[in-house]
This record gives sequence, C-alpha cells and structure tokens, in this order.
Amino acid sequence: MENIKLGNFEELVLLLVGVLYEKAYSVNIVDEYEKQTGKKINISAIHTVLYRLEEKGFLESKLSESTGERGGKRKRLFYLTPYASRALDELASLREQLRYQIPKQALTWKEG
Amino acid sequence: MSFDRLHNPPKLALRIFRWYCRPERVEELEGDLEEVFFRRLKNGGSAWQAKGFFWWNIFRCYKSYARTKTQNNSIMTSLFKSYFKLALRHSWKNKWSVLINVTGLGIALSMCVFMYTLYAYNFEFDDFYQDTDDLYRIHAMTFENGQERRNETMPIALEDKLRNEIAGIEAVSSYFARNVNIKKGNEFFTEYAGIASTDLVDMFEMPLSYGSYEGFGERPLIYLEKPLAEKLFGDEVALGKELTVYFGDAEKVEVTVGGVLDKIPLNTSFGFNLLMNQRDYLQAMDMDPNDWSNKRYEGQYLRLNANRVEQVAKEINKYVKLQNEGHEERKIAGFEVVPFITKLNADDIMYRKYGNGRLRPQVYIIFTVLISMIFLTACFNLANTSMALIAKRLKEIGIRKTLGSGSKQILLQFLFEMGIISFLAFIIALLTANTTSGMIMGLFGANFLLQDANLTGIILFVLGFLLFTTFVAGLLPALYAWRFQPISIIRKSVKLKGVNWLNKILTIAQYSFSIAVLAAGITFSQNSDFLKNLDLGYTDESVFDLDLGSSEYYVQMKQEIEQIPGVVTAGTQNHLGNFGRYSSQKTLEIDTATHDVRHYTIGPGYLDLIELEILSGRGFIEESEAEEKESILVTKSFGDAYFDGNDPLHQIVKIGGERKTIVGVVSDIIDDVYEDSELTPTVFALTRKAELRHLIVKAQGANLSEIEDRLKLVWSQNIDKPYDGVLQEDLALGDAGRDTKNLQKIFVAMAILGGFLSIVGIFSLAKLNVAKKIKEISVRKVLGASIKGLFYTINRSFVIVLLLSMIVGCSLGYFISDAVLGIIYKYYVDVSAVTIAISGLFILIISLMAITGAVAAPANANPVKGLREE
Repeated sequence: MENIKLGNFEELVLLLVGVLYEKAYSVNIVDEYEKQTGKKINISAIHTVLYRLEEKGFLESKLSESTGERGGKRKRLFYLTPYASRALDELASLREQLRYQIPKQALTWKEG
Repeated sequence: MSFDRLHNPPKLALRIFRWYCRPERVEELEGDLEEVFFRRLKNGGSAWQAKGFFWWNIFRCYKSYARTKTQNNSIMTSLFKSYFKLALRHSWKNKWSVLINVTGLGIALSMCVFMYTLYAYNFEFDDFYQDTDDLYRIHAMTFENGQERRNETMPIALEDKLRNEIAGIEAVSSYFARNVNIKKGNEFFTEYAGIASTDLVDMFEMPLSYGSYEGFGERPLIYLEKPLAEKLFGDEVALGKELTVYFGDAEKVEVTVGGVLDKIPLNTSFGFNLLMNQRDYLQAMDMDPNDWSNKRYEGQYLRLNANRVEQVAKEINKYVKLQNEGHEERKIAGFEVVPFITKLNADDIMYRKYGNGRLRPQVYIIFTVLISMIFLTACFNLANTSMALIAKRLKEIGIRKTLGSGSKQILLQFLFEMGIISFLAFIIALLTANTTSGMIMGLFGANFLLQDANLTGIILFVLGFLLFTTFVAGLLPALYAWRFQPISIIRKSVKLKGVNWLNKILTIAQYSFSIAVLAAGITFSQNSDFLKNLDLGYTDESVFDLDLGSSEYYVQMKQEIEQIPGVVTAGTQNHLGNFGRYSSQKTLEIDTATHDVRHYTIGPGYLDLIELEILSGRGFIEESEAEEKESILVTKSFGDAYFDGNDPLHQIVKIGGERKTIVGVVSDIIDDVYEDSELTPTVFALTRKAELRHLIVKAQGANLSEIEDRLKLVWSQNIDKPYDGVLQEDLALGDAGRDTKNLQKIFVAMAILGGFLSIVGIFSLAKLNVAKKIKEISVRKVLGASIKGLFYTINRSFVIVLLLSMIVGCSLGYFISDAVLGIIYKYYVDVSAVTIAISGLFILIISLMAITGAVAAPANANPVKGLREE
C-alpha cells in the first residue's frame, strides 16, 4: 500500500465532498459538517483544507456558472478525483481490517 | 437570493479582504463569506452579530487566503516576543503617562489621517473612473480683463455637430447639474440633479445598485443615489416608482425610477443626487438642442483616439463663429481639447456646470501647518516623558548590559517600546479619523471618509507615519539609553546632565508650538470677526435677498411684504454678493477692443437700499426712460481696468452692442476675499420694469428673526416652492464667509487641543522632576525650608524654560498667523501682538499652576517618607 498522506479532518472533508456531489462548495460543506457531526466549524478552516486537498491531488475544482445568487459571484465546486476515491477505499478497508483483528477479549470488561 | 437590502456586510471589512486576498480567489471567497453573512441573518441572527462574525471571518481568513505567507525566523521571533513582553510590562508600570501619550498622539495622528484623506481627495480625484485615457474635456476660452480663462461651459448645440460632423469622435456626452424640485405625492424635495446625454453612462462608470440603464434616453428615467432613494421610499424598492421633476414652475417631466446608484465617491467630477437624461430636460424646457442661441451651456466630453486630438480640436474651432453669432453677449475666443484627467483646480476653471472640483490648495496649507504643529507637540511630549522615564530605568539598562546585552539590542528595544505606543496611538487615530473628518468636513457640508480613499495608500501612509513617529519620538531616548556604561550606572556615578538639557529643548519646542497654535487660533477668530465687519462697498446688515426664481410673483410679493412694519424693499434682476453669483456677463466695446464685463441690471431704489456709495457723477434718475436706455454706472475699478486709471465719467462705451454713457462712478464691490481675488470691474444698468427676480428686503431696527418668519409666511402664501431667502450677511462673501466661520471653530478646537497636550506634558514632566528631587525636597524641609521657598526652588528651572518658549512661541505664532492669513486672504486682520502675548501668558500661567500642583504633594508630605525611600 502506498503512503497516503491524509489527515483525519481531511478525510472527513473528502467524504463530505463525495456526499454532496455536484453541490460541494465551502458553505454547503460547512452546513453538512455541522449537520452530520453536530460540531461548529469556521469557514476558513474548510477553505484551507479544500485548497490543500486540491494541491495534494485529492480534489479537483471548477467555478460554477454565474447565477443571480450571491450577487453574481461564482462558487468554486469541488469533485473527488480517482486518486481520492482509491485513497478513501484503502483507508476504509484498512480500518475495517484492523477493527476485526481486535481480539474479542480486548473489548470485553468485567463489571465492577 | 436572500438579499436583505437593509443589511449588507461591512464595507470596510470587504475592502480589507479584497486588499489582502489572492486576486484569483477573491470572487469565490467573497461570495462564500457574504453567503455565510446572509445565512446568519436569515437564521434570525441580529445584524450586529452577523457583522461582527463577518469581521471575525475576515481576520480568521487572513492566514489561509493572503497573497504571500510570511516566513518565520525563530530567533527574531523570540527576540521580538521578549521585547514585546518587556515593553508591555514597562508600559503597565507607567500606565498613566502612557495613556496620556497614547491619547494625545492618537488625536494628533487622527488629524494627520484626516489630512491625508484631504490630500487623497485631490490626488485620487476622478480615479474612480477607469479607462479615462481616451476621454477628453472641451473648454471654451474667453478673455476677461486681459486674462485667458477656461470655461467648462459649451453651447449645447455643439453636441450634435460633434457627434455627426467631425470624424474620429467615438462618443460625445454633455453634462451639467442644477437644483430641481422633486414632487412625490404632495411633498416637494429640492435635490441636485445631474443632467446628462445618454452616452455619459457608457463613457464613465456610474454603477447601479439595482436597475439598469436600458431605455435611458428613450423614455423619461431617473436614477437616484441610495440616500435619496431611502429618503423618498424608505425600505421599499425604488425601481419603477413614479415621480415628477420640476425645473421651473411649470416646466416639469413625469419620470420613472430606472435604478438606484451605488455610492460614487465625492472626489469625482460628476456629483449629483439624481441622474436624468438631457433629452427629457430639453423637452420639458421646450428647447431646441440645435439652436445656437438658446443660452444653454454645459460641460462636454469626448472619447477619441489620442492621435486624432489635434485634428479634432482644429475642427471644433470651426464652430466658434456659429457660437459667437448665436451668443452676441458672450463671445469666446476658441475651444481647447484636454485629457479628461487634466489636473485643474477649482480656481482654474471659471465657470463649470457640475458638482465637484478639486480642493483649493489654500485649504491644505492652513491645515497642514496647524496639524503638523499639533502633531509635533504630541511627538515632543512623548519624547520628553520617555527621556525623563529613562532616569528611572538606569539600573535595568546597567544590569542588562552586564548580563551581555549588546547596545544595539537596547536601542532596538527602546525603539520597539516607542513603536508599541505609536501603534496604539494609530489604532485610536484610525478609529477616530472618520469622526474627526466628519466634524471638520461636516462643517463645510461635505463628507469624505477614510473608506472613500484608496486602501493601499492609507496603509502605506499609516506605516510610514508609524515609523516616523517612532523615530521622532523614540530615537533620542533610545540613543541615550544606548550610550550608558553599565559600570557607572551601577556605581551611581552616571551624569544625566545631557538628558536635562535635551529635555529642556524639547519642552521649549513643545511649548512654542502650542503657544503658536493657540495664537493662530485666536487670530483666526479675530479674522472671522474682521471679515464679518469688512466694508464690502455696500451694506449687508439686516438685508434679506429673496430669490423668487422668476419675475411673476414679484409685484404681489412686494405689495404684501411692504405691509410688514419697519421694512423697505427694492427689486433687481441681478443681485450683489457671493462671487457675483447672480451677475451676468456682457460684451463691452471700447473703441475697437472688446472685453467680457460683469453686468448688473437693477430696479429702482436698489442702490439706495444697499447704500452703494457714489464716488463721482450721479446715480440713476429713476423716472426717466432715457436713463434706462442710455446710462450706466460703473465701479471705480472699471476706470482702472479700461481707462488707465482715469475717471471714466461721461465716457461712451458699447455694452452688448448698445451705446451707453457712464453717468456715475460707484465704489468697488468686494464679493471675494481670497488671496487671488481681484476687484471686478462692474457695470450697473437700470430697468424700470416691475418684473424683477430678486426682492431685496431691508429691516430697519426690527427683530430679524421675526421679520424672516413673516417673509417665510408671505412666501408660502404666494409661491408654491420652498422658501429661497437668505440674509445678505451670509450671502455676501459666498463660501468664504461660511468657510471663515468654520475655520474659526476648527482653530479654536485645535488650539485647545494643543494647549491641553502641552499642559499635560509639563504636568508629567514636573511630576518626574519632583520625583527625582524628592530627597532634596525632604532634606530642605528637614533643615527648615518653608513651603513657599520649596515652590520657588523647584519652579525656578521651569520658569526659565517657560519664558524662553513664550518668546519663541509668540514670535512663531505671529509669523505663522500672518503668513497663513496672507496666503489665504486678500483682506485680513492685522495680527495683534497683544493677543499673541496674552495667549502666551495664558499658557504660562496654566503651566505654572500645573507645576505647582505637581510639587504640592511632596512639599506638603512628611519629609520622613521622602527620605526613607529606596
């Protein structure tokens, strides 16, 4: 397995971009994040991560068409790259594998 | 979109964001931030909360969006961190003197920032319009009193010729501005209308907040500035609303609101509250745009290729003949074509037909002189207190040097501390700059705020000034601290003589400046009174001018107003005052030479009422018809200008093509007091027609405000327009009179501020000095010195300093006031030495009181306390 450099939060954002497919832009991602995790986050954090992920090749982006919304200012929409999809799969399966390798005894505790 | 028109994200925050953000990402990020803002509002957040978060986001986002990332140098960072910590601790220890310095410097700097915005107003003038390289203005050149004058007033008929007959002109537009009355329902509003050809909105940016320019020039549309739209329609969307615009009493046009304009800064050539099309105006006024004799003038602007300029200018001059035939009364010598952005002051253009111009340079001189003096006072104050404070920190410096601190680091640290103080002062300055500017500019009815100027310019200015203050106020103390030898400090053998000497020089400088500012302030106040009582050649006391706008109400109004007891009236077509605002220009022919001359057509009784003095010859014989046709009066300067200083009495001249005899010479009329003003040769002619435009009312010995109320009442019963009457006192010198009054207020405020800074400065100095001498005081007291004796000993050193600064300050004040007044005004008060000496004495006494206050505490205290210390 090649060395995938993807932080925890970065992975979460990648997943959210995937979930929001075609509607994934920063403000929506903030909303979705707050809805899914119940935690607050500042938009600047999301922006930073999105641009970093794009730099790393996990995301690609394009500007949307200009519409009447937002005073005609365009949004930047993000899409997963094949590399991201592979990375997400690998990370997910790695986690799953590890989860099932934990012996049952390690997860049982005596009362008291 | 959830666009809430009431609340928008804070403009300044957006500007800061646009300034620092990487350009390629501005659009998307700004959109995101705005969306977050509006979402917060929609979800029930309050406006100030949303705005607060918006600001917070702007700051939060700096790290990730900024153009470049700063590189961290770990050694430097830790060094600066420790400097910062030390500086904070030190400031906290001396919080009162720091607080005083920060506030004083802050207010002084806020004036400097205001000063900067004034400069920015001029050097960023018309920067708002982009791509002006291919835009040109046309000027009509005239000769007046032998001088070439530029007029940005072109005959309206020229527009069609420019558009259709001259090759190479890509676009033409005309523009002028005037007051109109807007009727909405039954309410009238008087507003300033820009009246333009259709092309103007293509040639110059006039951004709309909403609405569009589609149909502009095809149907009667009107575009409102945002504040006007809010005034007329409140929160409702103005688009599509109907209004009636009145140009005269009957001349009106029904218009539809085509859009609302975004804010256009004040420092642009085209200033208005609302924009309309010239086509609608001409139709309402029933005027033929191609008639060369319709007496309509306006500014005209061209778009053309740079290499065609000369050719076009030549071709335009073909129409000089047509213009001069159409306007017998106002002949011009030629046209010139100049680039739109040509830097011309308001004074360089004689007549212009639009709202805004560049500021007079005089305004700068006066403010720059005074503000720099106040600023330097604050700087010296800061330097002074920090020098004195160094005495307390000698041990710190000694120990640090012993522990291996280099001289450079000590120097740096002191500068750094000063930097923090000036930085704090700058925050205060920026926060109060708009208030300062509002207070000062508001007096002149204008409003040019910090956010209207270019942000990069402001930031550079602020940084530059920050460095400057730090060095001016910080370098001396820092150099001092640097020089000390640790061994002598610890041994307590260090001599602070040099410090005292420098302190004294700084104190003298600081005092002299504040005395000078106070003296200038008082002199300006006196000048204001002087101008108020200046003999203008006629009387301006208790005289009202009612500008009826047209002659139709004249007879009725005159009859009714004459019923008021203690009132005399007279009528005139052109009325004196305000730079000759109501006068007309006529062509004067003497032998073969022609000139433009100022001309007043007056009604019977007018000269008597305004008490214009007849120097030689006679006044008008008011019953004679021949008098009206053949006789004129001229002012004394008329003889100087056209008859080589000889008496022009009984000479015959041609005015507007008609032969007239000069039957009398009257005294000159002063209607402008600025330095470059000249007495304008003026001609008076009589008309006996009852139809006159101005009704002049003189109240003899009656209560002026009562009379004015009666006038307003009569006006409202007869005329369906807002009251347009003014006291001659206010009108006589036009803006100059108003400006002088306002300058008086500003100078008094500045004088108080300067004085305050100085007194606070000397108080803290005295305190420090006393603290140093506490042992001396205690020992003297123990040995039996009286309190009076103690005051004498300690005050003695200050008195010498104060006396010296009084001499320097008074002479400085004298010369500065005289020079500044001389630069601005032609007629001004003689600077009185007594006044200046009194202001010097005033500061001296207040300071001595402050010092006595500072000495009182230790002098009255138990000497044991003083001796026990350390």
